[in-house]
Parts: sequence; structure tokens; C-alpha cells
Amino acid sequence: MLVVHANWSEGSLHFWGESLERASSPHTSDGNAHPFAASPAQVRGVMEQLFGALPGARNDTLTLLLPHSTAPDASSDGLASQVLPSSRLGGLLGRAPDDEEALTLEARAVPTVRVSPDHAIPCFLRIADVATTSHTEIAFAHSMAWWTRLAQTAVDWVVDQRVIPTLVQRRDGSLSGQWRPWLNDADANLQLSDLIASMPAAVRAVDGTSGHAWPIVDSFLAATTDALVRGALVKENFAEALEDFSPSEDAHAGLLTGLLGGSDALSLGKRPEYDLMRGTRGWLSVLDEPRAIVGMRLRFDVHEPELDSQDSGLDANWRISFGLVNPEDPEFVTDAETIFATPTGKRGATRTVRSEELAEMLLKELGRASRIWPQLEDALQDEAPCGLDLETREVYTFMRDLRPVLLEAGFFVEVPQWWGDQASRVSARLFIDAPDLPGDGAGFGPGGEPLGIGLQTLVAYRWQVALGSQSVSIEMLEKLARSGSPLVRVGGAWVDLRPEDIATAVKFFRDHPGGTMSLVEALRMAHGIDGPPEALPVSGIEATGWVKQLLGASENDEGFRMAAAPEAFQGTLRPYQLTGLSWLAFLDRLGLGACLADDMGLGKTIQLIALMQHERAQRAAKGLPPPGPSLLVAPMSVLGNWKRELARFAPEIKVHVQHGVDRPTGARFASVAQEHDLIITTYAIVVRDKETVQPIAWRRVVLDEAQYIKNPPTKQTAAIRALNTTHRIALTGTPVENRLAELWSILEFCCPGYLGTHLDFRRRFATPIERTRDAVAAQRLRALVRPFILRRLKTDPKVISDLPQLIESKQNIPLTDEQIKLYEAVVAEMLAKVDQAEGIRRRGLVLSALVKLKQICNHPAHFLREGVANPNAAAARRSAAAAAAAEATEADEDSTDERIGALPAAALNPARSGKTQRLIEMLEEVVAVGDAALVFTQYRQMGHLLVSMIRHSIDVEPLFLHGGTPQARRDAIVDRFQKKDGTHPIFVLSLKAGGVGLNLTAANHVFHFDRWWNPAVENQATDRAFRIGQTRTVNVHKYICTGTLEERIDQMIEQKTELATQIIGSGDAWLTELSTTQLRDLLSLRRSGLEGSE
Amino acid sequence: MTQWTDSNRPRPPENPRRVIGGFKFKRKQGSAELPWTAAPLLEAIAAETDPDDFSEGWSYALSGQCVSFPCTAGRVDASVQGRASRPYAVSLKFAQWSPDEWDKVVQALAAEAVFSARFLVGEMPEAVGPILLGLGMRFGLVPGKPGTKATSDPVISCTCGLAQPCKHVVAVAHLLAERIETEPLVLFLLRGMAIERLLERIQESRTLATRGESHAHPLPAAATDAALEPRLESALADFWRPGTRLHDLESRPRLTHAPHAILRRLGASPLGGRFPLVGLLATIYDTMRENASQLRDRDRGPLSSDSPEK
Repeated sequence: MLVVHANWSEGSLHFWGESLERASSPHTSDGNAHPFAASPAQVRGVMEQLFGALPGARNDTLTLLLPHSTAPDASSDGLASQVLPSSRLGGLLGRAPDDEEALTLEARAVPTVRVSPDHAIPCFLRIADVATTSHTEIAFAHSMAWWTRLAQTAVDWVVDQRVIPTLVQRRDGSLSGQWRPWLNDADANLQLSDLIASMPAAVRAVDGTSGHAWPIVDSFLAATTDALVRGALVKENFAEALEDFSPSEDAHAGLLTGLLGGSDALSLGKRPEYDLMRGTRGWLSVLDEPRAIVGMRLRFDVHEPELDSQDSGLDANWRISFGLVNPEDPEFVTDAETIFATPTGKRGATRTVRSEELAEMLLKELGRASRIWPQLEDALQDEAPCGLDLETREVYTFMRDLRPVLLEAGFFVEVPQWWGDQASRVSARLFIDAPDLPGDGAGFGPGGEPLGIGLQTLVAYRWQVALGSQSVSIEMLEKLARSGSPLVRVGGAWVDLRPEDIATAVKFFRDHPGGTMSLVEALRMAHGIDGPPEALPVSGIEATGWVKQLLGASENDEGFRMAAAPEAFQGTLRPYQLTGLSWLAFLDRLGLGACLADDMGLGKTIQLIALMQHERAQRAAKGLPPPGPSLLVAPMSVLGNWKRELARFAPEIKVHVQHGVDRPTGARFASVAQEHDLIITTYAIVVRDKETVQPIAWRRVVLDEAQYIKNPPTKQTAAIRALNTTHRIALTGTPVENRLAELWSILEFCCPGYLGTHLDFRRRFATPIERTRDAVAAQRLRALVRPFILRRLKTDPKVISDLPQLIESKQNIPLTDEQIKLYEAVVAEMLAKVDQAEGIRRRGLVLSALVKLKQICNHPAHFLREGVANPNAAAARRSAAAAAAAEATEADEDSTDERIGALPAAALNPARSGKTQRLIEMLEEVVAVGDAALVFTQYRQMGHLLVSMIRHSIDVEPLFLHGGTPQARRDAIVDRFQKKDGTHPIFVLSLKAGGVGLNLTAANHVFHFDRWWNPAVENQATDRAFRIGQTRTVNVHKYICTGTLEERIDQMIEQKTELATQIIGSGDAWLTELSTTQLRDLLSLRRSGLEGSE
Repeated sequence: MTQWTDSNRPRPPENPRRVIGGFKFKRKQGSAELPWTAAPLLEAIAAETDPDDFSEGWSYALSGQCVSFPCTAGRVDASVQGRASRPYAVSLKFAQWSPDEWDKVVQALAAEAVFSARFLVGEMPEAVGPILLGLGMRFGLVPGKPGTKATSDPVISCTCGLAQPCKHVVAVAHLLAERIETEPLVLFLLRGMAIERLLERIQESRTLATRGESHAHPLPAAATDAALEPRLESALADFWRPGTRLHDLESRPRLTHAPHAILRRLGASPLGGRFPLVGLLATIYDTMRENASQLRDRDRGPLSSDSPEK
């Protein structure tokens, strides 16, 4: 695996790499060579894979100033400073510097492959395309996000023609032509400052340079923009245009000699260079006037003529008035009439200096604007120009053609509100006529089945011509067109009537009289996809009956009938949960799939349980039996939660958990399925047992954590889609609308075919939105998916009033097979020994076992001490049960100071523990929605593991605070977290060090990764986030391993047993007083809890 | 230089026609105590002129017989009112430095910031003279060889038809000397380049020398924030990741730019070429847009090594 980096040096792009393999094995280096930089051959190999052949790429070296750690190193002699891995490589290794103060900057040489500027932009665009997916041999440095954005922005600027021809003079006096982006306009300048301000330090770390950001951006933009433009001009042979002109005699030809051809040199033959340079400078400085001139800006106000509503406005008189605004405060306008009407200074009148200045400024600005808009010169002949009277056609030209140019030149132009609005253009509107749903509350067909409408149902449609908000006839449109005016009034509103639009519209409506088509076609067409090829803008959709309900369903609650909370539900549904239930039921009734994407903590599980109960009640009311079995697919780590929630809220629903080695298959499974209402299983099993699962006709298939199917081409996704069902629901807590690949996969599951093929979707939506932030495409996509996605945020006003300020939930998490084996071995060994022991020794044995079991619940690597720089680790690994009792009791509570070395890759694998797997899943959601979380653990070593694992799996840099963190550093860490700038959303704390005193209100999630038996201690920790200054709902997640002592003790505390009061009073000591029978009862793994109730 | 006393004050001119609002020589001490920049020309004129004519010329200057007195690149063209009904046209043509010589001058003056600094407040530092002499120029900064030959500096002429230098030339020479005294940088204009232009050239040369190049385009404002980033040494804790403003950029609405807006704002070129520059540029802008949007929107496909299973 190679981490690819890029640096810009002396007009060329250098790619280099860090090798994961070299960094994970012991390495030394000669001189200042980077010890784990990839070899030139490796870099070339990766580049070939990425870009194909790159002509002109050369091997080179670059000296970079990189962070080093100066901590004493046992492997070398003394204080050798070590190069630190980059943040990306550190993540892959699970490693990051512990203490920032010990970092220094030193020079290291890395082998590079040097690429010429004309390849730079294509290379970065390529990287932008592939960087969003993961690859086996390539990872991209974090700086690549910056580089690719710079390159994309550079291309955007060229596409926008935001480019100037300019001259550069070198030290020897020679002149070169250059194309470069024009960045002095306010908006572009803002983009440029964003780029400069966000440049990673690594990008400016080339040794021997100033280390400033601007020269790099400047040089990169100049070289790549020039290459991009010049490349196109050379290809089209623009230099031919100069053939009949002598560059030494004609200044224009002279300027162009350096701009059109492959060479940038100006060959003028004699020496008018200075004049050319000076002339060009003067010319270009016109563009910079808005910045060079301080003071007021000219503002144009377009005034609509006052007409009665019947007037067609054909002969209307418009006026454009002048005024001055303060660009710092554009609300403050002084109109020209006021400026000139101020009494003049003759005969002692009181015309102030101020107003004379204003008048002069206004004239100067008018002069500047007249270069862009020559018609202004007419106004300038007036002694006191206050405005211009224009005809409709002239105003149209002004607004359409001149306004954008004037705006860019720094003028202010105010136009009527309707201008530029899609609604003021000719468009086509789709009208769908659908019947109302049967009013009967049951809402199911006569046999109790859903209406079975589905996406393929045919609906009646016709097209309407829309002019503004009015529907008009074709005849009317043609009549308007005959007037020849580009702006006409229809029903009292102005409409932008472009001739090309009218021709298209007339043809379109002749060709598309209406008829029937499928719902999916209609919806896609109404949002301008698969539209009629004539490319008439589609202004939306109007519908009646159930289609109207569907379109409005997820937006407002009126679209569908609110369901009553099912009587069987053992609890209370919050109002928004009832809305969610009703929405799911409504789509179900139409035979349409749904994606419920509520924020984590809003109770998606409960809404789905209620939906099942609602359906049963509806059927029961008609005397029908419950529907056939449904299938729930979820990650292994949440099986326990589902089982618990179902048992709690819907005990009447018969549930089977299809999991574990002895699960039924084939015909046996089919009969098990028929005996239950709900089968819960994992994504892995759906793939592994597809022959078992696929033949069954499921009433409903539900995906929990549906982002698991985000990769379209995987076997898993294919197996899930192949399931046979009448109703599909996806549950996810990630902001699915913003993650395009995920969105497609999930909708393809819920509403197969709706978003088109993956390729089509990429071409139509993903590419334009991701590459160019195409707002129109994004808007269309949102409108298209809106009927099928319901996403409520914790911050929605409707939701927030329903939410308590603190939500506690327990996560019941199964052990993995590895954890089960270790757990049972430790219990067996302890029970075998404990009978023969007494007194202190017995107590020691029990306490030691207790610690080990808690560690096993956390993660096998915690128990096996993987990666701990401690000779005992090896011993521990040899035999789980062989570790000495004395070592284990206090061995890695927070007070011990064991340095954790390089972690073996296995220790970074969250899938070895149910808890870490679940934690990573949930933290991913936390990060995705911009929340922040505290993660508490009792063990410093576990904290280290968690930090490395989080860094490895989620690609954020977690903060970590433990007993050994010095005070000054603690404050700095806390400040950083509280800054809420999104850079450090996860904070891992040891319970002892972070459980009291700190104010961490930036967090709105608190995870208790392992349990402390005293609820008061946990609550104190929770209160770090839940305290004054907290403005959001705080979600507390308590992790409990199913079937283990964690669950047993949790139950005891819950039930407030007598034993529980002892537990709370005395920490772990009470355990040692238990009899062997009691111990067996308490500690033995109850495997039934995992495998389901059978 | 002659020290004028009461006994040899110039006699009043013989009734030349009066001029209202002419240029008057105001120096109380006459041509005495002129600085190094102005003295040589007037001294040389005095040496070449009949003392009476000189005295009369001086008197002309004092009474403001000079109607107009413009200095342009390389020359002074004045009109002096004598006895005749129409004023005489006096011209002083100075030797101009060639482009190559100017290159040397600019380079020499750009080498030390002190020159620009003094020029900016209107002063001529004394060191300029010797420095320019050291460059091996055909003519130094200060003219001092007036005459009527082509090689004179300046070449003097007057429409009065009298022997040169005539009193009209003397009058103009007085005014010029006074002008040089108060405004010494006019000497550069007399050698062919206005001081504003010279300062620009010096600035450009300095830019070239320090940055290696100079541009015809102004730099964006963002460039001047450049030095605000933290030193590398202070950025070690977060060395590799982009700053949060990258998110700001991502979330900003995409800019749009009206087609050819830059060209429309630029307007016609002031360069005066006959080649249809702006027309060709319009085609070029369309070509670049087409080409870049093809590059941007091209489907580059997945990596060859991408397997469907992650």
C-alpha cells in the first residue's frame, strides 16, 4: 500500500509516496533520505495504474521539511529523531504522535516522479474521481483533497472564461505571453483566499522555498491554466491567424506571438517591449478598477412601467435610474436626483463639498460603465444624468446581456424580482390525474393485500404550457410570439419569452398530447430526467388523488392519513414517530418502498415495530391473520438491540434470530420462517445463505444501517436486491441525500429502477454535483427522491419539542466467536481453580478473572495485550488462561503507564469485537451529521486501542485524555474539542481522568464503552456534556455485551436487587465474597442470548 | 559665474512689447548659486553670448517676456515676445538617450532604493551624476554644450534670425535654469523620459531583480494576505490536512461568469495594433471553454485494478 502525495516545485508537479510496508517494518535511512518513502519504481507503478502512460514524466528527488519526533528511541542509539508518518499513513498504521510538543521540522529527501504542468490538472481530476472509493494498493494523502479542489477550481475558471492574456517579463528583460485566471473579482478572490487559507502545511514544505502559500498557488495556477488554454489553441492551430501580420510592427500581433503557439516567447525583432508591457498593463488594469477605486459604486435600478393588469406592455416605457452605493453597505443608496438636486454653490448657496464629490464620483462611474454599455453616453450628454428611458426590448437586452458583465465589473444592478426566475419562462408542466385512495381507513384491497400500485402503475397525464404561474393555450402562446417582444405581460406578470423557447414549446405540445405512462416515468419526467428530447424546461408537476398525496408526503404531514398508535405497542410513540409510522404505512399501501433516514436516536427501530403492529391491527379488524414473515437485515452488532426492543415494545411478535453456526437452513429454515413474524439476520448471512433466504416470499424486507449496501457492485448488494418481497424499507442515520453513491444503492433497493442505472445516475447527477457543484442537478435530485426519503433531524423544530434533553439507550451487543472462546476459557479456568483456593489467593483469582472478562468484552486485543510494549504480552498471548493473577488485577487501569507501540494490524480490526464494531458504526454516523461525541472507557490501554481504531476506520483524528496527560496539555485538548470547528469531533477519555470537572458541552453523544458498576460515576461522566451550556439533546449510549457478566450486573442494578446495593457500594470487592455457584451463575456466558430464543 | 552688482545690473530692454501673464524669472541672485543640475547650461550660454545680449535676455526673463514655455520629452519650445509683433519661437533640443542607454540608466538607478525614494519627493541626489558618468553614456545627465551644431546639447534655435545664442534663447535658458533648480527631475524628461515613467521602469526593474519576473496583470488581493499563514514550525500538529476553509469553499455556490465578460469589460485595446485582437480573443475564449469543459466532464472510469469487492 502506498500513500500518494503531491508537491509543486519550480513549475512542475512532483508525486511521491510513503510505503505502508516499509513504515510498518523496522527501517533506517542513509543521511537525510526519507526512511519509508516509496522507491521511484513504486511511485511510477502507482502512477501508471492511476493515469496510464504520462509522456515526459521523469524521476527526480525533492527535499521536504517534515515533522519529526525527537523522543528517545530504543531501536537506535540515543536521541535519533524519527520521521513521522503522514496523517493518512498514521491512520493506516493506527499511529499518531502522542505529544505534540516534542515535534521538530527536519529536511528529508524523497524520490519523486516529476510531471509537466499540462498533465497536472488531468492527474488531479483523475484522482478526484477515484479518491472516493478505497483501493487495495493506493491511498491518498489528506492534502490530495486540497490539490484536487485547486485543480477543479482552476478548470472551472477556464470553463467560465475567467482568464486573461498577460505578459511576464523575466530578469533578462525577455517577455513571455501567459494565460492566467483572473481572480481579482470579489467572488473569485474569496475562492482564492479559501484555497490559500486551507493549504495544508505539507504542500508548502518544499525545502529552500519561502514556505508561503501564495507563490505556490500562483505558480500552479499560472502554469496549469496556461497549459490548458494553450493546449487547446495549439491543437486548433490558432497561430495561423497571425500569418499576415508582423509582430514587430503590429502590437496586437506582437502580444499574440507569445500566446497562441507552443512557445511563450515574444519575438518582436526590435525593442518596443516596454511599450507593449506598459500598454498591456494599462489595458488589464481596467479590470481591476473596482478594487483600485475606493469610494462609492454606481447602481442601476430597473423600474417596471406602471401598467394595469390587462396591458400587454408592448409599448411600455422603462426607466433605469442611477445612484451611488457604498460597497461596504449596499443598503445605503443615494440616488442621482438627490445628488444633483442639492443646491449648487453659486451665490452663497449651500452645496456642500460632499455633494460635489458625490456628483464627480457618479460621473466617473458612469464613464467607467459606458465602456461596457455605450448607450450610457447618451445620458452623459445631460448636465445632470439621473437615468435612461428605455423600450422593452432595450431593457431586455440590458438585463440579459449587460447585467452580468456590469455586476462582474463591480457595479450594482437591481432588477425586478421576477427576472431570472425559472417561473418567468416558458415551461412545460406535467399534470397527472389520479384517483383518490379509498377513504376506508383500512386502506387495503378487498383481500387485505396492499393496493399494489407500485412504481410501474400506469397514470394518466397530460402536458400544460406554463407561462409564469399561468397555464396558457398553444394559440395564446403563438399570439404572444407574434408580438415579437422578448418580454410580455401575461395576467399582469412579465414573462421572459425567448423566441427559441416558443418554437420548442409549440412543437413539443403538438407532439405530446398526453396519455398514460408508468408512475416512475412520470416522476422522472416531471423532474426533467428522461424528459422529452426537445429540452423545454420542465417546471414541475401537478397532480390529483394519490399521486398528489405521494408528492407531498414527506414534506408535510397532510399528504397522508395519520395512523393511530397501535394498541399493542407497549409504550408511547412520540408525535414525530407517529408521523413516521403513518408515512411508512402510506407508502406501503401504495406498494412503494421507503427510506427512513432519521437522525440517530430518534427511534427508527420503534417506528418500524409500530408499523408491523399497525399492519396486524388493520388486518385483524378485517378478520385477517397476520401477514407472512418479514426479514430484517442488520449488522451483527445490533441484533441484540432489535431483539430487546421487539421483546419490550411488541412481545406478541414472534421473532427468530437467524445467526450462529447451528442456524437452520433450506427447508428447515422455510418452516421456521413460516412460524415467525420476523426473521432477523445479518448482511453476511444473506450472502452466505442466499439459497436459503431468497426463495422465501417475504412480506417485507427491512435493511437496518442500510449504508452497508453503499457499494453498488458487491455480492452483498446483489444478494440483498435479489430478495423476494412486496415491500422494502431501508433504515439509515447518515445524511443519505448528500452521499450520492449511497443514495443510489439505497434507493435502488427501495424503489428499483427509480434512479436509473448506476452509470446513468453517475452521468446525470453524481458527476455534475460532485465535480462542479451543479446546483440545478442537485435540486432536481432532491425533488426526485423526496417522496421516498423521510429524514428528521434532532434539531427540527417539530422534533425538538418532542425530545427530552437527555436520551439514554443501552446497546446490547453480541460477542464475536473469538470473544466467546476467550470468555469461556477464562471462566472455565477460574472456576476450576477457585474451589481449591482460599482467602487472598481466591480473591486474587476472582478479581483477575473479572478484569480479564471485561477486557474480552471490550476487544480481544485488549485482553491479549496486543501491541503493548511489555514482555508479558507474549506470555499472555500464548495462553489466555496462563496469565498470573497478580498481573491482571490492576494491570491496566488508567494509573499504569504502558507505552503502546506499533499496533499489529489485527489489533486495529473493529470486527473482532461486537462493541468496537458498533462503536465505529455509530461514530461514523456522528461524524457524518456533524455531531460530536465523548467515548469513556475505564482502561487507558483500551483508550489507546480505540483511538488507533477510530483513526484507522473513520479517518478523523480523535482526541485522547488519560491519567498520564499533563495538565497543560489537558487544557489544550479540551479547548480544541470545545472549539467545535469540526476538525476533532471525537474525544476518547479514560473515566478516571475525564469523568469529573471538565466542561465538554461541544459533545451531544456520550458513549460508555465499558461499564462502571456505580451509576453515579457514569452519570458524572455523562454530565461533562449534559450541563449548562449544552443546547442540544444529549444521547447517552451504554454498551453491554449480551449474555456476559456486563448484562447480568446491569440487570441487577436495574432491578435494584440487594446485591446491587452492595455492588454500588464496594466496586468489585463484593464479587470475591460470592460462592462458586453464585460465581458460575454470574459469570458464565449465556449463549442463548445470542442465538435467539430457540 | 559673474556676480551681478548694482553697477553691472542688466539694462532695461529697449521697449519690447509688454506681455501680461508671461513666465517671470524670480531668482533674486540672478544666475548665481545655481545648483549642479542647472548651472552648467546657463554658464555655457553666458560664455557663448555677447554680454549685452545676455543682459538683455536676462532682463526679458525678469519682466516675463516669455509667453509659453513647455518642456516635453527632449525639448523645450518657448515663445518669447520681443519688439516684433509676433513672438519668436525658441527651441532647445536636447540629446536623448537611446533605449539601450535608458536600460543602463534604469538598471543603475534601480540598484539602490535611495534613488527612488529621493525621486519620489522630487529631489535629484548628487550621486546620480557620477553614477551616470560611469556608465559610459554619450551624454551625461546635465546638458552644458549649447550650440547650433547637430552635436550640440542642446541644439538651440530662434526665429529672430540673430546670431545664436540670442537674447531670446538667454531668456529661455534663465527660465529653464530656474525650473531645473526647483524641479530637477525635469532633466530626465529633457533626456527623453518623464519621471513618472522612469519611476515605473525602476520599480519594474526592482521587481524583476527581486522576484525574477514582473507581470502586466495586477495581483489579486488574496495574494497580499499571503504571509498570514503560520510558519511551518508552528503547523506541525496539523501538518497534513487541509484547513477548514476548504469546506467553506466546497459549500459556496458555484460562480457563474457571463460569456466574454472579461473581454467586454476590457473594451478595445489601447495598444494600437491593426490585428483584430478582441475578435480573435472572443473565439479563443469559446475554444478554451469548450476544451476545458470536455476535460472536466469526461468520464474517466474506475481504476483498472478496482475489483467489485472492496
